[in-house]
Amino acid sequence: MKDQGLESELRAWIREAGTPEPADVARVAAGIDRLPARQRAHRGWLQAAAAVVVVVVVVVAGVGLLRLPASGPGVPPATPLPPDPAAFAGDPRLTRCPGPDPDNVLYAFEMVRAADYPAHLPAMLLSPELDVDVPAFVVVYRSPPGIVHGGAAPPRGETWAPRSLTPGSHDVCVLVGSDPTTAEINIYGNVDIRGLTAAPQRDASSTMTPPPPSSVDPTTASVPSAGATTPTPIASTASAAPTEASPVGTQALEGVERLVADLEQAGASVRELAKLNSRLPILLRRGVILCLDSEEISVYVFDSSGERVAVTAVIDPEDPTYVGEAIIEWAGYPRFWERDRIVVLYVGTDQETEDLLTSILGRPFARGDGPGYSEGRCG
Amino acid sequence: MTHLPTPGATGLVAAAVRGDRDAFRSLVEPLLPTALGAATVLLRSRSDAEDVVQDALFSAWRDLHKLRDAQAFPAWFRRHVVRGAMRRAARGTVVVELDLDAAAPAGELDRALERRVLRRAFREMPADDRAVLTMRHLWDMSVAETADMLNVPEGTVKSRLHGAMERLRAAYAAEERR
Repeated sequence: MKDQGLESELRAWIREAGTPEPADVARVAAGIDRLPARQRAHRGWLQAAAAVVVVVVVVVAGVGLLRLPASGPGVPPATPLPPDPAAFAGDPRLTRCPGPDPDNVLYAFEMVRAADYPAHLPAMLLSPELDVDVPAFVVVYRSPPGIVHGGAAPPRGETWAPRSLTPGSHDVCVLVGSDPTTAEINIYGNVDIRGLTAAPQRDASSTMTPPPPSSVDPTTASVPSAGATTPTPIASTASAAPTEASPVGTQALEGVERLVADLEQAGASVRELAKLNSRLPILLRRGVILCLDSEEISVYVFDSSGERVAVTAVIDPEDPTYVGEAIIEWAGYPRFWERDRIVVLYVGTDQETEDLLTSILGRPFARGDGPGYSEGRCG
Repeated sequence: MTHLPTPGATGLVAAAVRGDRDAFRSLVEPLLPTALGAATVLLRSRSDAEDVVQDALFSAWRDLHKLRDAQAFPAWFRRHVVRGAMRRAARGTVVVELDLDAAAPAGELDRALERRVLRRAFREMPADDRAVLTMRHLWDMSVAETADMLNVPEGTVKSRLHGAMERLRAAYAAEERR
């Protein structure tokens, strides 16, 4: 074969060799059906509650979920307000949203595109699941419809305590999709509805900006943080946090106390930032969030070292995105350490913090990366 | 590039991020034939290629939230495939099972023989060479696109292409002398 013909012959051969059999393509395509479910922790409560086992929980922490109010606390009421909800009497979308008492519907209106929600509800936090180009229907409840729970779950056998809303905030249902029978239900609690309007004057998509850094729990933005005053995507009952009253106990906290003592002995300043109620699959545990100097770490507390070993065994050491059957989107660069009854998680980037933890707890048993990094609340 | 993003790619990606498997299917299915083809050529093994594309489907599904530009989905998915294939090739556990002799049209014995020589020469090439040639001739990628895909400078791609063709010519000549 002449030199000049070699390249064209090579090209023809590669194209021939690179044309797979349709059956091979079909076999690979069938793999799409075997992919694990991809589900956000704050998806519609009906869908989530229907799941006996949370197979996949995608936890987007910190950076990705929060949006500052578009115009700050002084967002003026916009006009026009939505029409009387009675205009939608009998509309199947109203009954699709949970809490069907029509008298409890404060506002109901349509959005041409779900992605327009910042124009309709300018003070609502970032809700990326609504960033889709399909029609949506919004129901604003007058008072909590009893489907939304915040904070820790009640002790076993007891019911959820009545929720109170921040003044100016309401629970909201957003149906995403043009077919009311199949539209996706998204429930949001404690949504700041200041500036609500049924007829926005501008294209919301043009105003969408990257979210600012936030200071939420680094492990999961879906866990209501202590003192949070912002709306919180609603967790499902299937992934509810452990009860506040469930005893961690002094014995169970020994691991934390020992860790704190070791850290302080190494010269670090340690303070407890908040109690940890993790909804993460597998790590469905209580514990504490500690400020280690200016860095935030999470400490999960187990009942026994045996239980801890059983749980950490299903965390992929090279890619903690995989935790058992779950896929977790970490907010930074997760590194896990373990000792006796505790698991320590650090998602920050400070090498000294990592070195300090490693000097006390040994090498991390798992490490990986995630989509972003939140600065945390200790700085 | 042949697979341009569809006008609805943004909506499909957003839906897929929310867990809509059908949206994900709509995004990737048009890309599967060339993805599988490229992986097959690169790895010289259909079964390895299937594994790599399956892995790419999984990692793309898992990491979809990291995709900043929905219009870039085709290139982004190919990157998952190529990098997976390169990792697999680096393991050195290749089972050479490609055999296109049967595909040669009857009466074109000379051409079939040339193809056999070409195939042997190609399979002796290092994975890096096979990758740049595959991207150039199967995916019609430019030097810049190939460089981005392999995460190497454009100059590296140019030198690899040049070197690959030189080595192919040498290997081809050696095969012909056998």
